[in-house]
Amino acid sequence: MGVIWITIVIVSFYYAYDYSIANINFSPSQPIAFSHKTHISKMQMKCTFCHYDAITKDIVNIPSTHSCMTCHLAFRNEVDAMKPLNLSYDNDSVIVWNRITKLPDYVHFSHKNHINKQIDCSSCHGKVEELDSNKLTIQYTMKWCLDCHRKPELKSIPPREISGIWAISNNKLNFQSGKDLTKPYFGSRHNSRRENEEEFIIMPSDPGFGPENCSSCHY
Amino acid sequence: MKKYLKISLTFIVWLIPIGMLFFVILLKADYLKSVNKNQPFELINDMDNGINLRPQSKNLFFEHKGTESLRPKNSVPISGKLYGIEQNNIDSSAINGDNPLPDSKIIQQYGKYLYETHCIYCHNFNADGNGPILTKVELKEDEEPFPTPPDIRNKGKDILPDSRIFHILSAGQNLMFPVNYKLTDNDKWSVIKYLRILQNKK
Repeated sequence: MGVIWITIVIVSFYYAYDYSIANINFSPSQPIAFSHKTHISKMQMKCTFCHYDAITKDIVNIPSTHSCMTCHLAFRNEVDAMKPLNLSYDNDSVIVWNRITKLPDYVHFSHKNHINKQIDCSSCHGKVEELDSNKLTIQYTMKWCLDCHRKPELKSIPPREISGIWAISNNKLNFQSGKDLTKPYFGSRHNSRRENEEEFIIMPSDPGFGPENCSSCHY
Repeated sequence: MKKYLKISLTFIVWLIPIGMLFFVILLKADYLKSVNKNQPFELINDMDNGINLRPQSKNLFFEHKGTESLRPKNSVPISGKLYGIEQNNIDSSAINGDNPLPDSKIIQQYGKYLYETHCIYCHNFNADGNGPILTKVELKEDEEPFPTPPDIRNKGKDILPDSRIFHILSAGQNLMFPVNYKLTDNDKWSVIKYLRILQNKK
């Protein structure tokens, strides 16, 4: 009897603790009922049309009023859902969205580095193109990060056309079978540059194992 | 008497794990929902939610209670240049000069990539101005379609010089917004390189 008692206590403590980092299905109400499904799946818009900072910067922008208005200034502008957008366009005010995807302060994630290694958005963000209201589908833990850094061939998704990632070849990923610690990581900055490279183009390099040093994320 | 004491003690001891189980089930009730509107409950806050100010989250310091704010006018990103010419000022002497980029294959590919991520929604893949915003939208009743973009293959018309197209990309024209905020100068020149290929196609 005592064993059952102890196991129940331990298991329930474990699940209660596990919840402290699980915020799956978190989907707060937003100022505008924006649907990724209609924009991506139906209109075939690419992720980087609005989230253009993903290619050149560490932190990705939330689209500004300006980028919504490239189409919606002249199209479907008088719907009730568009009122906050029109207000912010007229008054030069800022729309405050509720942030969903969050990492702790002691972790640094660079979108630029991951995208230029030809890793698709959906390998971390899930299938956003199927969601009407955006929500968290993945629990961002350190185990989850390291799983992909160690076995990227199982976890990461090669760039899809809908993501709008600048990729030289959309072939399937090629990974080294064994790992030699004396050589630089495959796909790291030591990768040799391609020929005919122009200075302003950030050339994508081949995907590979991620670094496992503590200081590569916790700096 | 001792018998009753023992029963009550076992009852109390068993109440602890059963209570814990109910507690966990209550917590997981939010977890099991398909959509959870509330911030998740955190039993142990392990520095995961700091009080630091971060981009794109709430911030009570500013009036609008967000972290984002408008840039001051005429401010330029560190790596950028200020494009000072106004939209209507077409005759300016600053608008001249040819494409500075060489004719390399990688630039054409890069231009194709940029064109297909930023321009096709109105101008379409072959630049005939019949993009997804006209073809893929199901219009409701009493709704006007998006105004048709011009055919930028320029058939039967004078073809605009490179610098004029660069001016349109940087300053905008009619309904088209400038793309200065997301493309650099070299990006814009490589889009023009790809546009020339589209125009030369039959």
